[in-house]
Amino acid sequence: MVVNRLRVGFSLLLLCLLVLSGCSTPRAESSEKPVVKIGMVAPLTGPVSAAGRDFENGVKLAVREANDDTTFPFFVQLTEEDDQNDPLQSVTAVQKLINQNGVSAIIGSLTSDVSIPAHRTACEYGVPIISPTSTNPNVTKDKGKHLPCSFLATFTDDFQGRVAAVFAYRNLKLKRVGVMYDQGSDYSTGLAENFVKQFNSLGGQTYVVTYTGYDNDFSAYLTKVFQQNVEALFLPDLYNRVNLIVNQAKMLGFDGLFLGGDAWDSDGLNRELLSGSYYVGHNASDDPALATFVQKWRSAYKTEPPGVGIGAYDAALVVLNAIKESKSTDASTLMNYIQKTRDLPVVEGKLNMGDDGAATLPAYILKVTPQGPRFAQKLEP
Amino acid sequence: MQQVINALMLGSMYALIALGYTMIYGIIRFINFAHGDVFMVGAYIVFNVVTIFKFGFWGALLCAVLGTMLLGVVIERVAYKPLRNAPKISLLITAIGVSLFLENFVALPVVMGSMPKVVPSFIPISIYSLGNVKFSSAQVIILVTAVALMIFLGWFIRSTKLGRAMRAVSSDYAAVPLMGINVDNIISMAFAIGSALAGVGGLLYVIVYPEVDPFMGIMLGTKAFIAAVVGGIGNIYGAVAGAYLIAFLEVAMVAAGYSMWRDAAAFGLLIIVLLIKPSGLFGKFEKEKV
Repeated sequence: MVVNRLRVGFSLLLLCLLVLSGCSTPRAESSEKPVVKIGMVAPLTGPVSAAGRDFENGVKLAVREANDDTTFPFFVQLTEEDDQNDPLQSVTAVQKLINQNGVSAIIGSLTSDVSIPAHRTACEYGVPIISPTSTNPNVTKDKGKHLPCSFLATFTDDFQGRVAAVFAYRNLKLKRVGVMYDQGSDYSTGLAENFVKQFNSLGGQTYVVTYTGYDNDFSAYLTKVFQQNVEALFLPDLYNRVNLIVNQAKMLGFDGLFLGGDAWDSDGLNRELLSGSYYVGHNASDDPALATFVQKWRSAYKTEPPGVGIGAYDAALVVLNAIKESKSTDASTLMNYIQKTRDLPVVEGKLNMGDDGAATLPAYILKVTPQGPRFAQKLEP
Repeated sequence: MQQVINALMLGSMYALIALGYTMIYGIIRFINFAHGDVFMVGAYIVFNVVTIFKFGFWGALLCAVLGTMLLGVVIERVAYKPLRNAPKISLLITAIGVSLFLENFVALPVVMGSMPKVVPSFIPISIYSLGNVKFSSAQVIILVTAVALMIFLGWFIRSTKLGRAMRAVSSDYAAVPLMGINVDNIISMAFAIGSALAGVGGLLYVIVYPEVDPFMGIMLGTKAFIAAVVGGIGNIYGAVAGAYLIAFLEVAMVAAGYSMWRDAAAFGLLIIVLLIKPSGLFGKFEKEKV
């Protein structure tokens, strides 16, 4: 018992050194609880480190709240590993978290390309892993089957495409939509195909043109689509290519609407040019329902909550909820409880874990304005 | 009909860059692979003067032309001149090196960074329609500028003293100094003019495609290069013809619904032309001089 207490004390010390947070939480109280170790893999350095830091802040906020909660059955010890947004490093990071730190669950990583190998590796050890931001449906799948320990705390690209179609048909009352997508990109293709399927089944008409990632001149494609008298263009591609397409569309005299997916959610989007367009996003900090969370984030970090931060907070909630419900630190028990997540209140609404390991939760429609994205509508799944 | 306008725009863009390749090749028989990157630097100059100093069209044009001209001459003096009597392959590899250097130098975080950047609009754009064909003032500017420059270049090479000197260097590199012409200056001038055209290309490009990134010159440079080769490299009329030919072919492929074959068709044309007429459509056959 004495040894055990010593170990807990030592872990706490380590935690303070590693996490630099939660140090002020009452030590006496937490030391009476058993410890659960969870890991985090995110790009804390490298080209997307800004998003990696938002990720870290979101996870830490959720962990801190759990540790402040006297009814939470464990003291949560968080270990962070950096993957620099590199698929190879994410594998090493996951192995290190499992083999050296002995974590019971992992939250990570940021982008789908990095999450795919990270999730495969964690699954080899049977440790549950959940990504807050990767939307590629292949993250949780291997040869078309769901990897039982791999989860997404967000909806997938396929879902986004369907949401955009429903919004375009029902809310914007569009009937004829042009769809242009990059055939070389999984993301672009996934959104476009699901949009087309959904929009057509609702009774609308779509006109599809594909291009390749090397193209900068889209006038020929656009002319072809505009011959069909479309009312709007669905452009599920990265913001930089969307900027180019939209500029050329305007030069061709097109004055219809533009619609897109979450890849538009960047300061790189030319918001002057795209003002009035809509895209599917994961959250909106100006949604009135998010006010309490925004307040919480502001008091912790003195900034507005970034989208990645909210997602990471949600993912941590899913893991912490499984720990709370199961009162267990066993990886496979946690895996079962994460799979069974039902109506968990997260920031955006209620989260349910689907059979494919991807969550269903409300999607947001954001409107582009020159000042930034504005909350337009929340669509329940 | 709309597609014809699209093809004319794209062709003008290719032609401006192709002229630079073909001029430099015509004079020193060497393919300047860094040319696409000079174009990229031109576009970045426009981006900077437009965002920082809020310059309009003419200011941006002046800065882009002067900047790329200077860059072209510096590249020639620093990287190519010391190798003028070295085997051509060394020169070619140096050109690839210069190209990679420019791309990665601009991509450095302290210079411009590797993220694509949006160029704010700096000329008022209005859209006209003629029947069911729509075109914008930007397209008119591009077409007029490109055609005017091509005509000017044609006149310059044909009718001025300097142009004649350039043609002389092109036809007999060794004999020209005997006629009292400074070969170094003529070569520098070819680089200056070629690079200035790339600079104008960069300006016109960001009007229609208002975005810059450090690797934007690669694909456009490659397309312009094959346009120059298809037309007969070394011949300026050939380069222009090749540029419009490639552009019309690409747009036609998309218009016909074979959008995924766009690039394959452009490069396929190059292969066919090289097989049937290796010197290009307008190129003249040259005997290997011994």
